[in-house]
Amino acid sequence: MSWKPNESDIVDYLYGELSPELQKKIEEYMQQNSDFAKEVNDLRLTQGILPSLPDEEVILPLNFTSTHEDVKPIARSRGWIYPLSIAASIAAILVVGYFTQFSMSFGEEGFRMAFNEAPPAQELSLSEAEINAIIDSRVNLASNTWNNQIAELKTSFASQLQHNQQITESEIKRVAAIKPQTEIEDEQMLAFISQLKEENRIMMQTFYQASADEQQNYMRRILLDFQDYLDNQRREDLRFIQANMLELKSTSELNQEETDKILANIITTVNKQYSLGQ
Amino acid sequence: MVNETLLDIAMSHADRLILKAQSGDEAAFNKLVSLWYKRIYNYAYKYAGSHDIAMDIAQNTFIAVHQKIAQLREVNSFKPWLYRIAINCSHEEIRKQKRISGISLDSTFSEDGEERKIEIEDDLRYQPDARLQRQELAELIMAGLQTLSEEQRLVVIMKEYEGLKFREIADALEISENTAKSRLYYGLKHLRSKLSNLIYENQIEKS
Repeated sequence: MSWKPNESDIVDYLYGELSPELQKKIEEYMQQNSDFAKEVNDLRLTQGILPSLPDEEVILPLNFTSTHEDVKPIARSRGWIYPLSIAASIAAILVVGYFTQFSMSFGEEGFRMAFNEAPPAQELSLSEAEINAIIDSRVNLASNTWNNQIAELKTSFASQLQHNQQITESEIKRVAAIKPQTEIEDEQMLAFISQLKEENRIMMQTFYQASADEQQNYMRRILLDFQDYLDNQRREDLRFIQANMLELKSTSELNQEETDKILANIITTVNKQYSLGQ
Repeated sequence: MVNETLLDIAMSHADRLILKAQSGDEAAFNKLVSLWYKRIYNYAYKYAGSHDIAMDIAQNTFIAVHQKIAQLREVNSFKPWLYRIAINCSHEEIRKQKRISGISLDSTFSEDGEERKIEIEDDLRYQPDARLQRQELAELIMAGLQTLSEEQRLVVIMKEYEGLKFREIADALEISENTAKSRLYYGLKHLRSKLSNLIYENQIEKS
């Protein structure tokens, strides 16, 4: 027999990847050549002992991709350093937390951290009546502030006006005393005074009008800001809910698909084994 | 892999995960990592014989996978592609270890395909006690693997422990299938000579 199996044939034979014809040919060759048969048998025994080296268990990295841009390998230098450093950090946090009476809680009111005793949680959700009450209180506060300021200005303006009037009258008297023979007639003096009074009245009216307009604009801005705040808050909440729903849906679909495939494979395997068993 | 586990089944059905990871889905990539991390770590551990180096190789492999996964053309070739990256990372890590240690590791990490000069300790040569503990057995096989040339060791690990097909091994190492089979043949022969006592004991126990 001139034919002799090569290395590739022997390996294929060991791993059962030969065609039936070639396998039969090799087996015949083995029967005729005891040295070759021993060699193949030795290789098979070697192959048989290798599974005695089992897989090592390893801790998977959490959220591997969260650091992909600036990756700091978890076990860059020596594996034990990191668990040790994590344990040390946790111990330090616990000790500090114990001495500072640090507390954390997570409930319907949200995530809370506090030193010493935690204050009672604030109610975050507001009812319509409470919102109206807040608006009313703010409006009243602003109104009171403005009324006070207007009253102060009014008093100040009145005193200033009175002061001016006194100065004017004293000036008139002084002029009249200095120049009794003056050519200024009483009518002109009265006209001057009445003109002065009219100017004062217009000034007061303008001032009241301006302050009223400013107060109105201020109130409008407050209400618009508050409305914008509520709208933004609502939009953020909706976006957050929508993102969570989409992620949940995506994860569910992925899990479902993987589960289906695994189940299908299991069913196929079981059916094969069942049919082989029969 | 004779006994297929649920993890193996999940790994063989990871096409959709790979596609999602290629499109930038971080959650899908994390799942891929969780499916393959143990395999790559164990490949690296058997290749390098060191937990720390294996951890670095596994980590660097998945960093490289994350950077290059969009370049993977065929999802079906993910497995040999992944191992090719792992092999490259292994070479890089070994070079780095050599630089760091400043000691020539030629005797333990030859890259020219020649057999390594290191020999298994003499205790393998004389007849061991009647029964080796499983741990000892594993350690001796591990030591035996480390005596193989790098080329032979890679093929033995990928075939015997990672369950790759010859086509996949050839793709990962960028060699022909026949070359892969030849390396495996000589690797097994070499192991046979190094582990002859163990094989003898194992045969006696079985019989």
